[in-house]
Amino acid sequence: MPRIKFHTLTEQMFYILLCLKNECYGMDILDQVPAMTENRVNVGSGTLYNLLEQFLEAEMIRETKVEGRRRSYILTEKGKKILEKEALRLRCQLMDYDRIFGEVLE
Amino acid sequence: MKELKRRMESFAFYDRTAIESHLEDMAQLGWMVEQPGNYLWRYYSIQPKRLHFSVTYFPNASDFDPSPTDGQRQMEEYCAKDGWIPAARWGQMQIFYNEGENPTPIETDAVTQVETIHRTMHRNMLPTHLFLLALCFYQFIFLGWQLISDPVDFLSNPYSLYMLAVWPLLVLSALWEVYFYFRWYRRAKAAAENGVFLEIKTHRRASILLLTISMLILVLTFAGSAAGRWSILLWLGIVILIIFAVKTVKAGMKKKGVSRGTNRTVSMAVSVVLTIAVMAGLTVAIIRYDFMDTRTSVGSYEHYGMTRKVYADTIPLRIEDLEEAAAVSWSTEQRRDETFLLSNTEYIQWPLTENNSIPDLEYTVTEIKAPILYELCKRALTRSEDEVVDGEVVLQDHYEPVDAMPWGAQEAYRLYWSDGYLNKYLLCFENRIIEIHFDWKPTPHQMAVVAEKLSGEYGREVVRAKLA
Repeated sequence: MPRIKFHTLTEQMFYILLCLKNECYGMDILDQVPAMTENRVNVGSGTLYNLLEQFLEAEMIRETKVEGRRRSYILTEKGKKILEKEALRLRCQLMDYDRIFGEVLE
Repeated sequence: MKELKRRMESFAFYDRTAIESHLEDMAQLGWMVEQPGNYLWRYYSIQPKRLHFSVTYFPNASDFDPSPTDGQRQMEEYCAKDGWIPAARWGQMQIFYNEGENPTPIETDAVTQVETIHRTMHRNMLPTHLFLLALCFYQFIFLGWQLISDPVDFLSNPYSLYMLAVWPLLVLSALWEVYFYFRWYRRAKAAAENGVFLEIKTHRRASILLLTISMLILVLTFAGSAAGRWSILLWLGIVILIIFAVKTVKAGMKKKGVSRGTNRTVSMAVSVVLTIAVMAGLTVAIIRYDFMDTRTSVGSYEHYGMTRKVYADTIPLRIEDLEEAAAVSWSTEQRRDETFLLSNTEYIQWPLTENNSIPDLEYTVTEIKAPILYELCKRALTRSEDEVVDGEVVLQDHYEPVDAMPWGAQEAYRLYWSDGYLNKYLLCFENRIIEIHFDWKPTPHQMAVVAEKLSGEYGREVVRAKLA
């Protein structure tokens, strides 16, 4: 069955959207994601560019400022809802894990 | 001054893995890619070093863009942050290199990467291959029609046979590439869901093999004759000229900053106009100046206001063999088309005089090397032809059977039309069919001479038996 776009988010998609909770330049996302994940997750520059374009097209984010080639973005309501849905999905997965293994991860 | 070199490379457009690996090898040998291309890639010399390469795709870019789009420049800025430097650009492909030990890859999300490649291929390879398949299909229909309507001309023409052999190979090559692309795409999409970048395997060698076989068939089909060799060189020259002209126009417009749309339109127009002009010029040269005629004429003669070339080719049957010929000079011509299936030789003998009472002689000998084709050729040669004027059939050429014995033939036919007959005969022997046109009604003796001279061993045996 074909994957519905953004029905679930990959790790890269998730963290890019998370960075855009507040207005942020696209370039700065490349530093913010490793910072917020303690270098566990890195976003490639090509992936960042492509995902920002896809999020814009899907109206999950919008441009707030354009200064030459420096553009800043922020989440839209639609983007927030999709991110919330993904967070809920991940929480449910975690709860299932805790139920099966009977331990709470720190 | 940097040293340049060109290499023939054969990568599938989406085979980033192979391209990256190849460029890394080239960098270690001291060569950096300057400009990729369909067949020739250009490199310039650098200090040999270990570099990382990354091939990315930009679906909205085009080879007709005068300069990188804003989006491409934006992406280059993002890439620069991680130390990725643009090396070359080719249409929707962008190549970066990095001198770092372990740089963050440009693509870190498999799902996004597969989708980007697929969007690129939708605009790049797939329309081209679909167009090629449609063209092949049209050619097949056209060749099939030619084969059915005139099998003798078709099967004795090396060019026609080459086309019949080559188009299926081109179809196979296109289908091969499309099949392997979609096979990879289907598997890559599934793997990407699990965060895995699936390696690309294009089986490109098969395509190269098909191309090599096509070239071999071309050489084998044409190399046997001087005209054939000239044909190969001429067509190659035409193709190279058109490609070079279009590339030059495209590059020139890019340099002048002409927009993508205008560049594409003008380049395509140049390609179409140049092709038509070259083909028209070639047609005029062939018709008016016998451009592809490699035969040697011995002079020319003004015949009823037209200048005709005079030949002294050896022909098997002459008017002097049939009757006492007038004391005039003659032109004797032979035109031969031959393949391993069929040979078709046209002979003409005409007098160098405007005295209408002196006859000329024309005949065609079709030698059928593959017995299975005999009936097909006979049916085609005996097919009736209608001429329709104002919706009415005014002439109907058709052959009717006549006594074959005088000719020493297995079968013989005479040409009839609407209200009479012509002295044109079709004679069927064991492995050859002869069409002969007399200016007079042949006598039994003359028929026997024709059999003796033109029929091959079978006819000669019949004639000898009859004479005995």
